[in-house]
Order: sequence, then structure tokens, then C-alpha cells
Amino acid sequence: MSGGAMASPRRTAALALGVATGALAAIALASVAIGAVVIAPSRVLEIILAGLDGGQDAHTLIVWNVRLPRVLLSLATGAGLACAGMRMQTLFRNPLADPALIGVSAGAALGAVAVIVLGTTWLHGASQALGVWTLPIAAFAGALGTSLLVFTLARREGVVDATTMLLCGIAVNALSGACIGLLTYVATDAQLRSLTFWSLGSLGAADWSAVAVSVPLIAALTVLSLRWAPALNALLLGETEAMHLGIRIEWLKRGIVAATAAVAGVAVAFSGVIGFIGLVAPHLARLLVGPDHRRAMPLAAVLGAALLTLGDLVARTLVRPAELPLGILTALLGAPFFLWLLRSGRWPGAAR
Amino acid sequence: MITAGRSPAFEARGLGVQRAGRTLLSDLSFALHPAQFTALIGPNGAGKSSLIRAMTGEWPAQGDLRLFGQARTHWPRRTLAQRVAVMPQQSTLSFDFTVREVVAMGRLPHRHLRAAHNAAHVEAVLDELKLTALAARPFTTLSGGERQRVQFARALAQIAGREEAALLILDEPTAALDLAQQAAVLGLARRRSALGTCVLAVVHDLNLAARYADRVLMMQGGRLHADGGVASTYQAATLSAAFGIKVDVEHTVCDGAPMVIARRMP
Repeated sequence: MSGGAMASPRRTAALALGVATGALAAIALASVAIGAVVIAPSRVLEIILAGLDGGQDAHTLIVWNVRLPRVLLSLATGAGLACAGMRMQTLFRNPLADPALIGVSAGAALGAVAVIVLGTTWLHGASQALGVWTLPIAAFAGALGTSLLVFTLARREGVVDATTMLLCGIAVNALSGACIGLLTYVATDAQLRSLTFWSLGSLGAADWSAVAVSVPLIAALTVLSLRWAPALNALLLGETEAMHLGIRIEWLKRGIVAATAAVAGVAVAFSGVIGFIGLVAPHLARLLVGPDHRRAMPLAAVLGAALLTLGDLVARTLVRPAELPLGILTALLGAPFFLWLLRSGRWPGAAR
Repeated sequence: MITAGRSPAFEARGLGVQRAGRTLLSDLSFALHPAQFTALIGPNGAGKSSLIRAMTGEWPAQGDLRLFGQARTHWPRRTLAQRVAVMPQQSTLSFDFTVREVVAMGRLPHRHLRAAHNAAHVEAVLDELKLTALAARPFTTLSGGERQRVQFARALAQIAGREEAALLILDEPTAALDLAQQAAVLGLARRRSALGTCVLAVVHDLNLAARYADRVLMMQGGRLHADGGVASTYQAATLSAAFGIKVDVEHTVCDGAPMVIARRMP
């Protein structure tokens, strides 16, 4: 009896994960195939399987140098942002938490912009020493600082107040925006052009070095999140309750903040501020398989990767040959979703 | 190797708690024993919840605190969670876990055991609390009383299978329950103490406490006001002093337990 009752949610979860993964594979293949030049999917697979030695024709170059790194980066960023959003929501015990909404992404952007503008003057030594890691590290530092700030401000006696959290997010977003504005004011023309990219969000700068930094990091943090799943479940019951269930909760909370800041850091460093993926993907996952992190976390990762990759495909084909900034597209679709969520009362403190 | 059994489940010597410059608890010394149901009573603000927070390590406390003969600080958190279950006064949950999933979280400290073994304990507890029909319902859709029974079930699931070596702490487990449910919950807690569990329950209703407890800890102003059997602690003078209202105690009314009636304020 218990066997049947237990197996059915697990079967639903396996089915949902299977379907989502299939859709993800199709979207990824389509993303490599479609663009300014359309390449047949079979030809895409041929080129990928042939490897780097497959030749020097135009299609091979496009696939290997342009589209593949971009798709890989969007898969990693989407999965990373989705898991980061889910971890944040668990930490705050509130389904409205999202790295962009509560100001973590803005903090990361501030870190990145500071390095771009001041990298040649004040921070010259640091950016020389860190090389390719300069941007991700600066963005990580900005993200970590803002998440600690919001978490400290929004918590009273161990309880996070949703209103305070969102208000803190507004304040931190405004503050980061103002600082970015100040830096824009002193930036040179060349710097200015790359600054726009950070505030709007785009995967256009994807290359293999971005993939080499973000894919392993995000993959490792996603695996870590899956290992944390039972503890994250307990955390949703409450911090005290989780402690009584044997969870080392102070360490878990620090881990969540650090991991989220790391993901927001690399995501923003290579693709700017892309909001709402961390809100929409976890919510869809919970809707499909329930809030148990052992089932919802992997599904959210796949959905996040699929949504962002699909979004990027739309963003760069809708107004071909120009490109719509991806951050604008996700905000256009995500903000109404957020408003619906707010209205539906599916969050604590909401009038039901 | 920790031996279950003869050492007290909990022992405090000179327990004190200060928060934000205020002394909430001072110089409490007592021991709680296996197979004993202890009711923790006292007026609001007497320090009952503070005592529970200090006992479980949620709040830092002075003094010598021992669990099953070992200093509390020596216990790894998860090992301790396998033996000490706490039912909080109230829990909010804003994610749609089902009743079964919430109860199953009580088995988290035992996740090294076989999944089927843990699932069997969960089903047994659901059945015992007559929650099987609600098992697939989202926790968030339950009434206050149902939620409290689910949290109680979670605490029972946490110590299931090792009742003889466990400490069960209940902070007002009956607050949102009707008469029959109060009796059911305290009856189940009492059955655990018969199996060897050391049970400590904060109970607001003095008459209810008297009917189920073997022993009473009465608190007042952050101190232990009285400690002993029901008959010896339920004295009109003792209760009147603790609760700050004149009470009468009738010793022969029901179940052999005393009954307390507060006088009308002049």
C-alpha cells in the first residue's frame, strides 16, 4: 500500500524530468542549427561528432566558434540561475526570492562594472593578477556582498519577512544602479559600450573561455545542491525545525549564500543581468513535481537551461540580423509572471 | 558507547539564560528520566519555552547540561536528532509539501537506514494519528488542529523504533485541538512514555496536565517553583502563588487526578 502511494510521485517526477530533458536536447540542437546561417540539424550533429579536426569550412567554424560555446554557456547559466533561485527561495522560505529581484545580480553587475571602468586605473594591479578570472571574481564579490546585506536586513529573530526582503531588494537594486550610474559617468566611450551589455543581459559575448569558467563551476554547484536536497527540505520547515532534525544549519545557510553568489557572479560576468529565470524555473518545477528538492532541483535545472536557451534563440532570431538583449526578453516574460505570483497569494504573508 | 537507560535523559545543574541583557532563566536544576511523562506548567512568561530552547541548544545557556549522561555540547547534531525530537509551538510552511512528506522529514536523522524501513515507520505513525486519509493533502491546506497533529506525527516518526532511548519534547502540543484530539495526542505521548521515552510537554490546561503527567515541573519568573508528583505539586497555595490568582483544588473529581478551579477576580 505504501509502495504504491510512494511510487507515484516518483514516477511523475521521472516522467517530467525525462520529457524536460528531451525538450532541452531539442532546443539545444535547434539553437546550434538556427541563426543568421541555418544549418541542417543532421549536419550539426556530424560537425560536433567530427570534433575540432572536422575541417575549416564555414559551417564548422560557425558551429564550433560561435554557436556551440553560446549554447553551452546558456545551458550552464540557465541551470545555474534556476538552482540559485531555488536555493534562495529555500533560504528565505519564500517563493518570491530571486537573485535579480533581491539585488544580488545588481551587486554582481556593480562588481563587474567597477572592474571594467576602474580596471585600467585604480584596480589595475588586481585585474593584471587575476587575468580571465577578474570579472567573475569581481562579480562574485558584488553578489556576495549584496546577498549578505539583504539577508541580514530582512531577517528578524530568525524569520525573514517577505515585504522587508523585497523592499531591501528594491533599495539594493537602486543603490547598485546609482553606483553603476556614477561609474558610467566617468567611463570612456569604449567602456560605455560594454557597460550597456551588463545592464541589459546578453549571451553575445560567449566564447570558450567563458564556457571553461562557468560550466565546471555551475555543474559542481548543481551537484552540491542535489546533495543538500534533504537538508534544504528540512530548512523549508523552519530553521529551528531543521536544527532539531540534525541539520547543521549555520553551515547550510552560509553554503547557500556562497553558492548563490558564485552562480550569480559567473552568470553576470559572462552574460550580464538576466532576471526571472531563477523565479520561473523553480516555480514550474515545484508545480510539476512538488517542493521536495530531490525531485524539484534537477527538474528546475533542466527547465532553467531549456528556458534560457530558448529565450536566447528567440532573442537572436526575432529581429535578425540584429539581436534583442536577452535580459529584456526574460524581463518582458518574467515580470508579468511575477505579478501573477504576487496576486495568486502563493507566498507567505499573502492574503488568501 | 552511550548506554540507553539508567542515566537521566536530561539533566541540568545551574541552568541560566540571558537574552538581550534580561535574565530569562536562573539557576534551574532538575533531571528528567526515561519512561516518565513530565508536564511543564506555569503562567505566561514564566520561561517554559525559554527552557525548551535552552535544553535543545537553540539558545545558549549557562550551567551543566547533560543529555543521556553526556554533556550536550559533545553530541554530534545528527546523532542527537536520532534521539531527541522536538515539536515546536507553531510552524509555518509556505511550500506545498504533503502531509506524508512532512511526517517523513522526521526520518531525516535516520536517512542512513533503509528507505522501506523509514517509510514503514511513517505509515505506522500516520495510521496511529488517523492521518492516513489526509496523507496526500498539501500541508498548507490543513486546519490549525490538523497541522498540529501532523507536526506531532513528525516528532513521533523521528523517535520511532527507538522509543526506549528517546527524549520527546512537546511545546503546547494541544493548543489548537478539541477535547477528543487533546486526549488522543496526550494519550499517544503517554503511550510513548510507557515504551520508555522521556516525555516533556508544555501544557497550558492544568487539569489536562494533571490527568496525563507522572510528574510536574512548575515554573514562575524564570525559576523552578515546584517539582514533584501531581498530588504534591497541585496544592492550592503552590498554584496560587505560581499563577498569581487564588485557586481551589478538588482532589476527588475525575480519573483520580486533581481538578483546579480559579476563583473569580474581585
